[in-house]
Amino acid sequence: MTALRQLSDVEINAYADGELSGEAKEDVRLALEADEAARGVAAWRDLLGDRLHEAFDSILSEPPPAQTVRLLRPPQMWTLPRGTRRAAAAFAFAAAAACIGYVAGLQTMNSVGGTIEQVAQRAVGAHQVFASEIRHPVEVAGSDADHLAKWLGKRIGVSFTAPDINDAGFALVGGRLLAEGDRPAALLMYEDSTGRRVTLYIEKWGPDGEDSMRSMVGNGLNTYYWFDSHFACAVSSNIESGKLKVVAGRLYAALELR
Amino acid sequence: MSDRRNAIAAEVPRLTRYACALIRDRREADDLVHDCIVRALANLSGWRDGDSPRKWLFTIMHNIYIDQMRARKRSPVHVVLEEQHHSASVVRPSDDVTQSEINAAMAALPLEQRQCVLLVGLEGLTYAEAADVLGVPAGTVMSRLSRGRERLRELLDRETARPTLRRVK
Repeated sequence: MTALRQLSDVEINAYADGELSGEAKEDVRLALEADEAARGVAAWRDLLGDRLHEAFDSILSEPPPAQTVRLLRPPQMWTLPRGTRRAAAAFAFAAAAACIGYVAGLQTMNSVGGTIEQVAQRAVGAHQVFASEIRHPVEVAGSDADHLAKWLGKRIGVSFTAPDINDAGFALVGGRLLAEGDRPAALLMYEDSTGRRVTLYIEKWGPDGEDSMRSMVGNGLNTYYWFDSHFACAVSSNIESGKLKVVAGRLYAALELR
Repeated sequence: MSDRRNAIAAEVPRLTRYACALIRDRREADDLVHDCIVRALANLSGWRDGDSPRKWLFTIMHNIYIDQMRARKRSPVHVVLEEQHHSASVVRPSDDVTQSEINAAMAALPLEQRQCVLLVGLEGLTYAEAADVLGVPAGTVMSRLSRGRERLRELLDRETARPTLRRVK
């Protein structure tokens, strides 16, 4: 057996950080096997990394300061502050709907690296696929609303009741479970007397996100989306935007995620 | 343009994490990130197509921080106040022992070593990226990183840390 040379800390760190390749990497790997103290240096590198993440990763899910958010607002969307009290929500929404000119806040990242806008895109996709379905638009019918909400809630990890918006002219058709990557999401579908459909999409978000409602237009659909305690919600439809604003406001106020 | 804004926005949490760990004061860290975003938005043309926004933004933030440190050094009174501020502050009530212990150890490290330990060990930059951000050769990053980690081991992990003289042949 060849005598193994003494490793320097720099070499051990470079190896442990994945900076070495080929012969140099193999060289250090072999020398490490025979050198307990050197393995301790490598192990400390891992342990320190874990401790740094443990100490500071919570910062990643905190909302950035408002001053920084303001700097980064893209000009093409609107948002409105969402009252902390549920009772004020409907009023705040109506006020903001009347008041065009808000701009959107910073795109908040969720823990899996997506943005709320990406959630809204997924909601648009789900609407496009399922709202056009004539025979099987839902898996569980709205006539069984309690079972539906219980089932979907269990799968996405929240307790809720399917909002009743009959007085806005939309009856609950039912709902279905969706797969977004490896995560479940829920879709509720509503329909008016002429068969026009509105979908409410709910996906687990992660951090308790920014409390605001925004809108986007695309693919012939209007979408309103917001956060609600660790969940991202989106309402999509091709009905006229004024009408959808009212319906979205109703859903926004009625949906209680616990 | 809004794509670039979004890409910058997406980096804000990581910039904030690094700034908090580096200067151990939440308000100063937030201010530093804010200044960084202001400068980045004013200088979007400095971000070349294809470049990672992360490296670009970390470089901007590093340069601002160094400028601020220099400005403070010119004013001795200010330096003293900053020191007091640091020791009295530290981040949030929810931050547990882990963070205060790490913060205390970090405070004992020279800034240059702290930067390397955090850019590589927390932010996951490669040596080459960290060298670009800090404006030093990769070899310098390697030696600072290695010394910084060893010093932290002495401070945080006394039980397994080696006797200092082990390497003497």
